[in-house]
Amino acid sequence: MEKQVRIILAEDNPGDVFLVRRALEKQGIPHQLMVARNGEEALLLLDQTDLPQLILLDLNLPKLDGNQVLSHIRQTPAFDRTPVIVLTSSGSKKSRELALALGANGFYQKPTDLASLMDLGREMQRTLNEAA
Amino acid sequence: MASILNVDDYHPARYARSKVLRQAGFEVLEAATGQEALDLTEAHSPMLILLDVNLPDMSGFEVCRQLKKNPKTSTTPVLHISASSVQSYQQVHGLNSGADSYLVEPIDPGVLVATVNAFLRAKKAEDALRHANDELEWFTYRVAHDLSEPLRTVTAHAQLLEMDLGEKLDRNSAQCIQFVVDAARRMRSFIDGLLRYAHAAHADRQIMQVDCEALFQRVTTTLDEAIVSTGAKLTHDPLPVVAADAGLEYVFQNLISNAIKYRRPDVVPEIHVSAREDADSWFFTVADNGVGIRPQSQKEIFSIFHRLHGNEVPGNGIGLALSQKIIQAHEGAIWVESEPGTGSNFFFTLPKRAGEN
Repeated sequence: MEKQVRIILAEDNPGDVFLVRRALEKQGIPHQLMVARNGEEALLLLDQTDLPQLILLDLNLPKLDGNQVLSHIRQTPAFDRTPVIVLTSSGSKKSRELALALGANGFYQKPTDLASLMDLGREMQRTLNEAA
Repeated sequence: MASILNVDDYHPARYARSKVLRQAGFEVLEAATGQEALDLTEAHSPMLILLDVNLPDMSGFEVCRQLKKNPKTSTTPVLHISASSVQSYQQVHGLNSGADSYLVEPIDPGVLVATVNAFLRAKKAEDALRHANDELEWFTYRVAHDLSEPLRTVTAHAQLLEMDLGEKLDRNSAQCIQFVVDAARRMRSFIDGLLRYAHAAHADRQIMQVDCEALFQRVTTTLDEAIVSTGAKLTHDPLPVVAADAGLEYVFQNLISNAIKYRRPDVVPEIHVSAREDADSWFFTVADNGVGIRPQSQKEIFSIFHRLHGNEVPGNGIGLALSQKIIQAHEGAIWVESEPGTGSNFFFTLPKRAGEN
């Protein structure tokens, strides 16, 4: 069996969690997906689990938003090479610049249809390949 | 409590006026020079200003001009006051420079108080209207924003469903899902348009020098697919550099895109953009040879969500309403002259700004 990629996803909307899973499946990335429902849970998860190979962060998280989690990740030496992709439903130029400035490897709009779902899958694959 | 600012360098007149106003229950601040008036206004935001025309350091008209230019004080009523020897051309000048009224001494105390109250009533109504408008814009934005989330979910999941069921889907079910996806896409288009509409007259639009020739090239690139697939011929006269915000590109794109969309089915669309320089403004024309618009509809098409051709022609009904909002935010006007079966001419004006040649 192919080695599963460990991915941490911080996302409070179950519909979007579903979409991320489907994107991974469509792209054929064998994965072990751990889901945090808010920013605090995300940080707890990062503390308690083995080093993930990819972190996906919704910008709009309850308790601690995506940017705050991102800052924390980038300030933690263990994670400073872990790729982080920020996901958002709005995608303004300003929030994109902020996320990239805080150290995100990618900034993507959440899938709106099948085509953009597959784009996300490809992006995740590309990010994983680059980090390897 | 907000106060009235009483500006006059002649102490006895100033004192008498303040007394009358205080007796009527108002709080009164006083200033004897133009600079004092501006400083006190900055510090205390008075609700109304009585402004003597003859001040020692600068003309009262100049003070008024500065007050009206400053967005923070531009809606504060300014009432000029001067001696009875004033000439009518001076009164006209004061009022044309932005003052809300021009009172001539001697002013009966009762009339002064009644006039002040009348202006305060009008200001209150204007403030209420402004506030209601701001709330409406905010509300529109929130509604559009909150609707787009679940809408995105509908589209993405419906398509996944379609993919999952694949061959198992009979023709009816497949068509059903297609309807769902199409409707969701149309809703999304409405909502995007609504969001843009809510933002169009936003206070911090940035005015810059816009090269309309370059803008025209950008628009033709954006609309390349539509132009190529319809064989549309797009031409233009030399176009100027104007002072405008980013919305101008939207207006060009919208008008040209409409001209292509509403073409006559058997006729190659020909679209020509031109500009004429008038004394105070630029006058743009976008002329096409399309289906045209009946006289009864020529005003309606600019109202939001109005769709003349229903669902036959794709679009969200926002384009012209948004274009109008953008042009109006520039203090210009937009309208159409058209002959059904021959074509349409869309006109819009852009007032020149200070410093433009």
